[in-house]
Amino acid sequence: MFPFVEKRKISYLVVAAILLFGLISYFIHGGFNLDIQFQGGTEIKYSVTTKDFNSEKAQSLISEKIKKTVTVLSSENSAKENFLVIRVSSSLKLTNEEVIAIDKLLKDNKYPVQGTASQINISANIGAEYMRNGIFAIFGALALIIVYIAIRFKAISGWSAGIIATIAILSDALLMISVYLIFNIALNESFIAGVLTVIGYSINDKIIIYDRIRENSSGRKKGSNIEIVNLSIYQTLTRSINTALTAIMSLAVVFVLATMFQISSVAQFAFPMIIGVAFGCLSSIFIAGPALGAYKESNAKLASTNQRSMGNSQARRKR
Amino acid sequence: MRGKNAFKFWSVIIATAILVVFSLSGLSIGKDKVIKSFNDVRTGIDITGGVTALLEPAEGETIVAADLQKNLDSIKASIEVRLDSQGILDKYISTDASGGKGRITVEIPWKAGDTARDPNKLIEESIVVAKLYFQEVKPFSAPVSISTAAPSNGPSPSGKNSSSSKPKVTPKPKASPGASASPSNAPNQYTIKNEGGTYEKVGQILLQGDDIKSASSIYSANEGWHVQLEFSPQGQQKFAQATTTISKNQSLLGIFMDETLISAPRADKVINSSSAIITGTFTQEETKSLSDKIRSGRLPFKLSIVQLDTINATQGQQAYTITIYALLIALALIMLFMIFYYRLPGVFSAVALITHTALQILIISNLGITVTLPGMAGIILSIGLAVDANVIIFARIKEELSSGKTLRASVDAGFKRGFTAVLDGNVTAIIAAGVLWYFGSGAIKSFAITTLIGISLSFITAVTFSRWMLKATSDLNLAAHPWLWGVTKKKIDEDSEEGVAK
Repeated sequence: MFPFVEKRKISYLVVAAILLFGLISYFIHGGFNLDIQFQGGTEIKYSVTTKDFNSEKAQSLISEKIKKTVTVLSSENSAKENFLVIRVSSSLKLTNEEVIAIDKLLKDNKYPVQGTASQINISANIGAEYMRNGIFAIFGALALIIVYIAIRFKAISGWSAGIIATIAILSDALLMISVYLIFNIALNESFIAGVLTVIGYSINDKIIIYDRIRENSSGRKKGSNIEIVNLSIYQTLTRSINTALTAIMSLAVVFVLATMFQISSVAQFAFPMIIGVAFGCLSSIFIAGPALGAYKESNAKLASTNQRSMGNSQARRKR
Repeated sequence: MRGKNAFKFWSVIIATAILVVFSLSGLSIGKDKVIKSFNDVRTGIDITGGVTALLEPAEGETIVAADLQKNLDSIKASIEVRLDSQGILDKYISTDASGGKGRITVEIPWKAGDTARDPNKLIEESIVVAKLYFQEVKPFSAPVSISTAAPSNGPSPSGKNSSSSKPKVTPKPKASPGASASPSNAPNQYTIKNEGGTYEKVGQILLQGDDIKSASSIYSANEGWHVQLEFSPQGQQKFAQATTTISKNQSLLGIFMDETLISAPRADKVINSSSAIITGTFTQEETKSLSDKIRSGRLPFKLSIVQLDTINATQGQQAYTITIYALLIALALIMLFMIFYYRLPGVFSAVALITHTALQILIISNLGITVTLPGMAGIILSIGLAVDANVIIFARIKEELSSGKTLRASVDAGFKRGFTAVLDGNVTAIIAAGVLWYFGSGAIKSFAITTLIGISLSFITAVTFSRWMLKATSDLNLAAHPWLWGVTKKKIDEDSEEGVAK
């Protein structure tokens, strides 16, 4: 059996390293790559002769050309006039040269654009308040989960188990954010969805391992706390791997097909989720379980020394 | 397999078949689609396209430059609440205070199956943000309308209502909310639809949207469907003042939504209370829509639609089809994996997974929830957790079999022991999704709702249904073959001897 608890420090180091890497990327890229939904930006509107054009392809062409993430929409007004709309977030301000380059690119690729484009500013759709509410909701949810674990897992030091699980879940979320930073993927609504999904998976993963530790601690299995935790992680290993595998497999299919057919929004969403689910699984096996084992062991040691000293004093009193 | 177990087994199979048929084609009785299918799922703007509307404060509204951004934000919040309450979760709302005028852009997807695609109708239905106010009115004094609007014909409050502590603003005439009782021929002439009474505005606006804390649609045996208003402390004061004025002037209290007169009750006494009700011969739909409008009508100013454009789908039908295919392939791969790895139990989990997917499609489609990318993430997560429930239980059954138990005992023990893990895992995920649903909006809400539906379903499909199927087969000699349970040959022999001999 693999000594999960004994080797836990290696996994702490790996996590720390990835987080550090994410932090470095944060400074290299000069902050988060916020999508237009988060911070507003500029909208460029072209009049087009027909609505028969591939906006998804225009999006990848322009994004590749100017190395900035843009969104391309096809729109139509009440007078049945058609437009090609390009949106770019304000942190990626378009220079005049870039606007000209986009113009040329569209015309070279035979997009049915006419004349010159109009530009307007648009405000953030996902405002600061929205994000605050979202983060508040996540922390609220985690707090409730700690309480739930404290009640249901009383047998294995409930509160501490809840807090350790929550720390591991948060580290998964931070790891996800680091992936976005390292690969400089734009933060938008799919980012929110991805992080939430990974948190959901991650919670479940931790609970399953804790459930086994709870069962094994209830007296049927003998051994030290560390042995019990190692055994529990080992017993649930097939399940941990199979579950992560099925999830990753389905996300991978989505990712591959989306990439093949250039549906960039779907691909951009599936990729970080694959990594997030993998992290959630690994952090349950190598962090949440072992950390609880180590905590219980140190507690047990403390308790036994306390007991010994108490026993001594009682013995003395008797005398 | 006989008796109760066989019955349960076949019920699951038949139920699955029916659900699959419904989720693919729905159910139509006559022209009405009673059960909506997969094709009726309301998808996001990126998939179906939608409408983009540019709204501006209506002419004549006073705009205070310093408060503009604050006002725009509160309008945005109101529109968000209104759209969320209709299940339209894929939306894009942005505000622009530059230029001192104030503009709001709203983008919402088309309804599934809306072939007419009338942008005006969609925006009117989904985001009409009318301004609610109470203003003193009296019967219109033009010679023709006097007879129809005479006090005897007009609204009259019943005596017992005005004496009770809860004021009842009770007009007798039938009034229809949202009906276009807009200015008819003369500018200051308002008609309550279905009643025929014509009124004119007199005096000041007495109460405004922000004086009303909440509005709800309520049923009682006496009043039928009615709208209950809760006033803010300030609103209560104003309402008391308003009733003083109208009882003194022998006039009526006009309840307006923009330029539509909803109701014009009379009050004989001063009413000082924190709540009031609007009654009439309303249907539930009418009171719900009225209370929704009042709730979202607490706006600092009236809005008018300046420009209305339609947006074509960015992804196009092809992209949507490909995404759906991707999900179907993924689902098939999961099933193959489960069957390959867990064999007979795997087959049952595949059946349970089909039931799960069909049910989830039916619920999402019939509740009219918009499926956005985050919503799809919720579906993937819940399918993942449903599979996980089966993985946990089957792994447990295998363990129990290996420890030398009989097949029946192993199935029972596997479900019993595995269930605590499934329960705790699912409950924590439900807690998380519930909190996100309550506090979040838009994308977060879309994710939370699909996750909540999916996880709750997995208790039925992955836990209950697969247990019924496994229990029903575990007492069959045919099913006792060790290979079917993925246990090693030797173990199985010992096992089946013990198990089948009995």
